[in-house]
Amino acid sequence: MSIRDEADARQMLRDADPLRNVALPPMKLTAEEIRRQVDSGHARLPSRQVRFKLYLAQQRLRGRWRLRLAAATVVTAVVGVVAAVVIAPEAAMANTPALLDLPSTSRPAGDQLQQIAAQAAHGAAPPTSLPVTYVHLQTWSIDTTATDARTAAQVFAQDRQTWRAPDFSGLTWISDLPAQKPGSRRADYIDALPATSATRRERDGRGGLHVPIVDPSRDPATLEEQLAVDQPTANGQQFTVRAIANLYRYHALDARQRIAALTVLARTTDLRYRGHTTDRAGRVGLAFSIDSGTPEDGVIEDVLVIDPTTGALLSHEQVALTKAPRDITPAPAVISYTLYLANEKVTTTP
Amino acid sequence: MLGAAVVGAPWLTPPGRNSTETLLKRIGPRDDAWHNALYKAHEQDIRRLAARKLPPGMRDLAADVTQMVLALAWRKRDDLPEEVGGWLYWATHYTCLSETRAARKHHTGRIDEDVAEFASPPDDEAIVARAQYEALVSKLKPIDRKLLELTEFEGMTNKEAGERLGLSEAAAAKRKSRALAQLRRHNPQPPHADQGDEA
Repeated sequence: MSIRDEADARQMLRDADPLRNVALPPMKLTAEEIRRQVDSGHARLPSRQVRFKLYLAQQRLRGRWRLRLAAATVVTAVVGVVAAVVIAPEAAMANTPALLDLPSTSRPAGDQLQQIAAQAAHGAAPPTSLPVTYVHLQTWSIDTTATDARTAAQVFAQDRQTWRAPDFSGLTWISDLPAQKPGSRRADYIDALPATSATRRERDGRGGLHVPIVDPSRDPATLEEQLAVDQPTANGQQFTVRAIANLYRYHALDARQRIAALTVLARTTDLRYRGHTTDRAGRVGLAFSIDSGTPEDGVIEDVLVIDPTTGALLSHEQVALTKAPRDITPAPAVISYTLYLANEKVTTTP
Repeated sequence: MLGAAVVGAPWLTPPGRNSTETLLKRIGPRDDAWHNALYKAHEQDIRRLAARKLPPGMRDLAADVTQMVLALAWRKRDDLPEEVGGWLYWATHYTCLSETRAARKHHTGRIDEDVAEFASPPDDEAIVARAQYEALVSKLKPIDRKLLELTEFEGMTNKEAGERLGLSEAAAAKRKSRALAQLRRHNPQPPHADQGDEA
């Protein structure tokens, strides 16, 4: 369209303006009179709502509205978090990790555990004479006894390394870990601890390190008796599983001790073999589980992941399958796990 | 008493093309001289816009709205942007809406329920003018029609109208050019040749 045509079209439009002949009321005040009224506080001004809209429009014209909107969003988020924690604590919940990927089918664990024991015996290295026991764990848990949501939302996560000499002196390094990303299956700090975590170094003198079972037996029957001292195994087979898990928190078991432990587990008739899985440190193992409790009181599943070659325990975790009436954390949810990252004999403490 | 007539002409001239606007920018401190220049440059434009924004039964308030806007401009003089055109437009727009809502709330029988920007007084001439305008723009899409009204009647720049309609400045200019071409194509003869009286 030519400039002349465009000018014609604009003129046509203006000529057709339905309000072209509407009369305008004359001004009643001069500029000076308006100023005098404003300065004396007697001027009629647009409403407060109009002034606020103008303020927003002005920020938009200046291009500052995005920045202020972003700032307002941040403030709102912070206020929301504070409100969630302080004002509405009942709404706070722990961010639990994802459940391990376990096959839904299962079968009795005895045969599989006997096979692992046989494999471990076949490839067992001779017992080492190194004096220091080194155990490296990562633990994660929530307080299932909490009666308020704020406590239930707290996560207790640690990286713990212990060097224990034969006289039960030793060194313990403890690093508190941040809560891992909600819904993730793999633990976040396997390869390196977070830079923000401070490590406490505790040194214990002779006899200072407590060990529940001082000398785990290589005889399954004797070991079973020792485990019964540590955990009330008479109250349920799940306690045998937990006692074995506890044993690995303190010891670097040799092959015969591991085989004894596998044999004890194989006698645990309620233990089920669940198949291959990958633990939270990314290691492939065989999963075994046992359920305890009642639907009315809440059902807990204990899961062991065992190295199929050495028979060593890789991880133990507990899952709340159903929610007990007093529990705040919804089910199913992981309520604790322990990763056994190292159980070995070394020459000396750091 | 009603005096000057509304003319369909831009009231917000782009910066640099209006000598008074240039003068306003050149005047350093926002003192009496600045306010006098602002009044002289914009009071008539503000009245025109207010007369458009207010419903027919409230158009005699256009001068009051103008005085309120200029009073606020004086009070907020230190916070106003260098180019006050956009601020004056929105101040007039919001004040008209606020006054209309207040009147509707307290005097519901006094004004029309429909606050159309182009609502006309109920006389034959206005009805004919409205019909002619509708015939002229009937082929345009609603967004193009609004774009032309904002830029040609209310004095917005393409950028300002684009912001209001969710278009970029370039897109607004392009749409406007096409709308004018379409207007010209469908109306070879101007339907109305009257020229409004200048205030």
